Amino acid sequence: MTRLRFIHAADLHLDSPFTGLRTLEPAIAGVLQEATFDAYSNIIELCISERVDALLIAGDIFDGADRSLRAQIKFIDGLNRLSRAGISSFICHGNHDPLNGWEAQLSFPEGSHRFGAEMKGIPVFPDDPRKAMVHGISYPQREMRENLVPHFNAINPEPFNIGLLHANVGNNTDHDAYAPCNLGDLQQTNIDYWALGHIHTRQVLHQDHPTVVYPGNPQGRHPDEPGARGVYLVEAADSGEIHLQFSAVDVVRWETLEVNIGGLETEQQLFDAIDKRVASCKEEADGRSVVFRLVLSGRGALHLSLTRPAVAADIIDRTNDIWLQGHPWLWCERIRLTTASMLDREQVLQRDDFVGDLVRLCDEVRQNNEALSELRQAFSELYNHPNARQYLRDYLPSDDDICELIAAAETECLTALVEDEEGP
Amino acid sequence: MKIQEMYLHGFGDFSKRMIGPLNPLVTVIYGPNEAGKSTLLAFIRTVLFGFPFRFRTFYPPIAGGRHGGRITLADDAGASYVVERFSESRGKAGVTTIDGAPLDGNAVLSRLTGQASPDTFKSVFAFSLDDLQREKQEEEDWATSYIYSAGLGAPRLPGLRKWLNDRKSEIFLPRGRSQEVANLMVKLQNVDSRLREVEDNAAKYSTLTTRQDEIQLELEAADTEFERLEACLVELGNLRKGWEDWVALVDCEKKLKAVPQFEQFPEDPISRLEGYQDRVRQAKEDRDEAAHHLSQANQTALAEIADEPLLEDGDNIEKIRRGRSSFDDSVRDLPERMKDLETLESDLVDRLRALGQGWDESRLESFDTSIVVHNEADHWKQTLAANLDAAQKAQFQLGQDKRTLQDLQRDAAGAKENLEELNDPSLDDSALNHRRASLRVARGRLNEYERVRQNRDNLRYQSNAMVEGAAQQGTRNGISRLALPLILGLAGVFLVIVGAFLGQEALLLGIAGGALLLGVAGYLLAQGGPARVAVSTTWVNALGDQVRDVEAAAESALELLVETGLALGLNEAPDAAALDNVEAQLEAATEVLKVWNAAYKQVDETTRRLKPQEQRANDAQEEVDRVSESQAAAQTEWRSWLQSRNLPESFTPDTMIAFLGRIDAANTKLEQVLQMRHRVAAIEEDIAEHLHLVQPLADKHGVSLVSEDNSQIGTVAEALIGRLGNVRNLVQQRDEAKRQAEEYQEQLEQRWLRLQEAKKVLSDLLSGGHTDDPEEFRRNARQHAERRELERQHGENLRRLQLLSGPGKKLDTFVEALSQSDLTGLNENYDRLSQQISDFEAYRGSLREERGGVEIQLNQLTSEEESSAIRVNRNTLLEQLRDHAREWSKLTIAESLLEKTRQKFERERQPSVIQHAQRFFSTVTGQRYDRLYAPIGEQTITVIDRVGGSKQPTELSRGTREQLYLALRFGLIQEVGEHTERLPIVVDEVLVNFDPERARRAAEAFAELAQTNQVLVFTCHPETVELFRDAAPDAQVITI
Repeated sequence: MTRLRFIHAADLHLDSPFTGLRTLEPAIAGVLQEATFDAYSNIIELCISERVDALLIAGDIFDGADRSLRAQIKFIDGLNRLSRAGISSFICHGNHDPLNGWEAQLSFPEGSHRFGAEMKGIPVFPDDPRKAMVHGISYPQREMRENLVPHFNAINPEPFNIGLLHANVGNNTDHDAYAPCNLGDLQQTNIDYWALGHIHTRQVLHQDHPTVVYPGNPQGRHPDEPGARGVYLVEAADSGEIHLQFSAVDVVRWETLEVNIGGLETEQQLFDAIDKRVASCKEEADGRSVVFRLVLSGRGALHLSLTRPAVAADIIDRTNDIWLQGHPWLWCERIRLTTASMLDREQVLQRDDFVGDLVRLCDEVRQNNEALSELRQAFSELYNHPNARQYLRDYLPSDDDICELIAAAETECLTALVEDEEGP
Repeated sequence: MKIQEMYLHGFGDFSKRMIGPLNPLVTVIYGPNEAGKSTLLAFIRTVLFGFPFRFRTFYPPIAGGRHGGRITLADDAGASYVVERFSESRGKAGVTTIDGAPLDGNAVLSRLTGQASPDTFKSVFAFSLDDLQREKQEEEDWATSYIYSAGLGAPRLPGLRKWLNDRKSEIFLPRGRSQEVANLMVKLQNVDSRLREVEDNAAKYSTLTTRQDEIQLELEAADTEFERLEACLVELGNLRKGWEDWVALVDCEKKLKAVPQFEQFPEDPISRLEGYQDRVRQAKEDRDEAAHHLSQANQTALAEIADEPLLEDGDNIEKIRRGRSSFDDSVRDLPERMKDLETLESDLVDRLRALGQGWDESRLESFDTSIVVHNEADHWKQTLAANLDAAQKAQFQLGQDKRTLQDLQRDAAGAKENLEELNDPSLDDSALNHRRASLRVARGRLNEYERVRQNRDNLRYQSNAMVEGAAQQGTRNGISRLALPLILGLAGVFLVIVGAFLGQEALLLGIAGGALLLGVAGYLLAQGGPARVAVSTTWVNALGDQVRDVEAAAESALELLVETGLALGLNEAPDAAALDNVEAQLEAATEVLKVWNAAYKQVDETTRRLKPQEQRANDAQEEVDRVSESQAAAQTEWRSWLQSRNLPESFTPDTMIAFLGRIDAANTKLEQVLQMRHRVAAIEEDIAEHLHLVQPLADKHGVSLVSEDNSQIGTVAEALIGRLGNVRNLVQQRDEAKRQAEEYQEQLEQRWLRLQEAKKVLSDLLSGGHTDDPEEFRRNARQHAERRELERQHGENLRRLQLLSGPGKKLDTFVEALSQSDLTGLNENYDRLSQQISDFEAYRGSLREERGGVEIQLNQLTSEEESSAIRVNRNTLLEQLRDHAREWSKLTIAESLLEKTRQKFERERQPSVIQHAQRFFSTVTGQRYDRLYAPIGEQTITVIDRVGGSKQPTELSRGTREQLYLALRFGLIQEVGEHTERLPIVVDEVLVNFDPERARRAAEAFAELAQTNQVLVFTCHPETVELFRDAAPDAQVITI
């Protein structure tokens, strides 16, 4: 028999702008701008339609300590709807929306619970505290480097206990190490379900006793957050058994579509391959609109023409002319070229001429820290420029970045020096 | 690597064409323009390095064959390979051994071509005149750099470096303000500034929500009080509005009590009464009018018509009417036509008289004037005229021939007289020729005799001199021989000295003249030498023998001369004067013979021409006779023709033609007379017919016709016609009156019925108004209408009061309140309450306005999307900035890598290239320029001449500049060859701008280079072929 049904969400990042876009197509700018709100609205709709007992949000509701007023109001609006539907809501704050951030004087509705800087337990059903409890704690400020799990140690094991926490479990290097802890820490508590937030890719770290879950963010916001995004619908039985069901609530999806130019000889063939790949993506998107990045890869005869100025822009325009119509739309935000010519690099390495010297030099530089440092020094002209520094200081290329840039520079040079379109 | 032979299966204009075998050293491929040299060059590049990207359009096989071909080549070790490449296999190269064993194509070909790129081969090993010709400074720099780059194996390096630099400059310059990065940073700063402003707005939110709550409470209290006051005001307002209606209601009730009431009364009574009365009056007028019309119609229908019997002859009178105009025309025309007829007949009589006796109308009509007769007259005119013309011509010719004959006879007589006056010539042509031959022989023998005699005298003199003393004679001769050479020698020396003094051209002339004079002097000395004067007895004896022989010969010559003189009529040995005299005599005899021959020829000529002219005169006389006979016969026939037509024989054809014209004119006139007679008869007949028609009718109907005068006939006819028309009109009017009488009768009956109906309706209306008197009816109607109006006003007043109060008891209460109020009091209370409400409304309005303002601000704060949009925009700008930074970094790396690689090449290889190029350039320019200088790191080249002067390529002449670029290629070829396979060199017309000497040296340099690299020369100039033949005697020449 089901004891409790709730939705586990996290990292709403309401009103946070999409990143990674070089341009913004006017026709869809409004959709992208409202995407986090619409995804949140979908969560509320899901709670109501599924008649769940509670909605749990594990931090980072807003993006930035100075959260936008519009985001707060829309958030409260959603909670009001839940309250009117008799659904409780439990919220903790994370590094992006700590308690010391600015807040509008908005009233949280009845049945909506917000955890403070001290760990606290709140019954899901006020008239039956022994049935289920939600325990949570919020970040008082952004820099929370303390392991917060020990705060959950003294918990009564009788009810079904849920731990609501924004934390980096297992030192995930893709995210900042806020409230760091490990799975063992979590297992040592009386928490039956750890409703976690912070990691944007959904994952179930531990299936049972306790169940440890990151639902991921409900709306991808940049190219590194591809695929379906959503929340977990959790059913806890009296027996203690927990059933998880992922439900996508995102509005727009991010995808990276790769097309290999190997074997393609004409522009039309390339267009056909692109269209085929985009059509496939559309089928997989479950009716959602898609922002995609097109990666053209492989070796082929079209490499040279693709490197010409404005060709990539022309392909983008042509693709968007076709796929940006109607709904759902698919928008190609940029093309990334990783193509190479038909040139055999190993053969070039054997050449006793300038091109051979050049390729050998590229290999030497990649292996030479001093040479890499010299190149990085050359970059400081731009990256440490007084006006640009504030925007670029965090993006000074690393050694790995420089090696990638060397490869790209090598391809560029070889294409320009050796590639022959018109023949001998 | 050396190319041994090429087989073009299908490439451009070549189809299944074998070129080769080629010389391993130098091969000159000669052909005129468009022979296919460029195609061959492209073929070599294609087979060795592949088809271009769009290979199907690259030299397609126009003449047939598979697109591509093969090249047989040998490596430096001497091993042979076959490389073939066809477009159908996507341009992939196939490499086999000479025996056909397949090999790894790419690997072998890469080795054979020394890993050279297609561009390297094209720019360094296979180049044309165009590649050497660049003029502008910019292109000079590019060319220098390009050649170096080609040597590096990267001919596009300069372009790439320039592009990298340009692109970097577009993205970012440290002090730049218009670059892409600078623009982005400006935008980002603007966005950040705006974002801060937007975020400040959020702080206003709390203050505004507090004030919003306060306003809401104040507004709720104000609304309650406002509603109460509003209700009071409405009640007072209703009493004011209902006051007038209430007063009118009371007044209506009073008036109603004073007006009588009719239970039923016709609607719209007055207008209906007046209408019915009008209808009765109108019906009476219509009835009277119909009766009057009926009376008039009956009167007309019964009237009698006097000339009604005329209707029986209506058809005949109608016929007379139709013929009236024709009759009048006939009466009017008859006198004129009669007069015309008389005129025509008179004219006809004149014409018949003019034709001659015996001509009347009958003969005129019967005389044949057909076209046949006219043609016959014309024929006779032409025939007689032709005979006359022939007779005149024959007579003229006879006169001409006779005059010519007389002239010839006179000339012949004159020539004979002239010949007889001349003397006969003494010598004829044969004799003269014989004398001339003898004279030539005599002159020859006289010359021979003189030569022999002079020889004899010389020998005699020498013999005597030799005997007198040879020694003395020899010394004198030696001095004279030395004098001339000595003078010539001194003159030569003098010329040389003068030339040296004057210098330049004079020196050359002096040397040349002096040398010539000295040479002549030397020659004379060599020829003369010291006289040998040794005299011996033997020599004297021999000379004596010679004298004797000559004397004998002189005698013999004299004898022959005398013999010849006799033939000329001279008795002794003639001298030159005698022979000249004989020659003068011969000339005079020749002239006499010439004059006599001319006179004789004149006689012969005139005699010969006389006889044919006599024959021509006789022939002319015969022709005159024949024509005269023919003319007489024609005249006889003509007269016979005239007789057959009973015409005078004196008629000539022309007279006859004129006579026929007159006959035709008379005939025409006769025809006109006959036509006019016929017409007069017809007019007279018409008049008679009309009279026969009118006469009986006039008698029958009493119209007087006393004579047959045409004008009276017309008048009677008009009277009959007029009377008939009048009768017909009267009858028609009577018939119409009868028909109208019937209609008016029917109309009268209908109008009587209508009058009765109108009277009945009027009577009914008066009864409905409770009277039979129209005036009383009108009075009753007015009272009834007044009551109806009062009742309506009463109801209307009640309805308006009910609208204000509400139905039922509310109306009663309302009316009661009105009955207890007065208007002045109501107005005063209403104004006071209105003022209170207005003040309260202003207060509420200010609260609402303030609340609206707060709501607007809150809405702006809560719903504004600007901050979201700004942050989205900021992110896109940041992304663009990072992308630009990344691209700039990549370009910086590329630039650095290229620079380091270039420095490596220049450091390690350039000196060798320059040395090789310098040696070649010095050789070709004949050591005029002996050094090249290319500083490391600077892509420039400087040439230095043998006196140390330096020049840039732009300062060189075109030919020398081309030699410099050729030299740089030579340097690169040798440098590249030291590191890898030596590739063939293919040049196309690169020597055409070189002067002959430098072209020769360049050809020799190519021949020298051919010892290491095979050389293929393409040219269309025969002199270039010869240059390479001279420079490389083993060179092979292939003509395509």
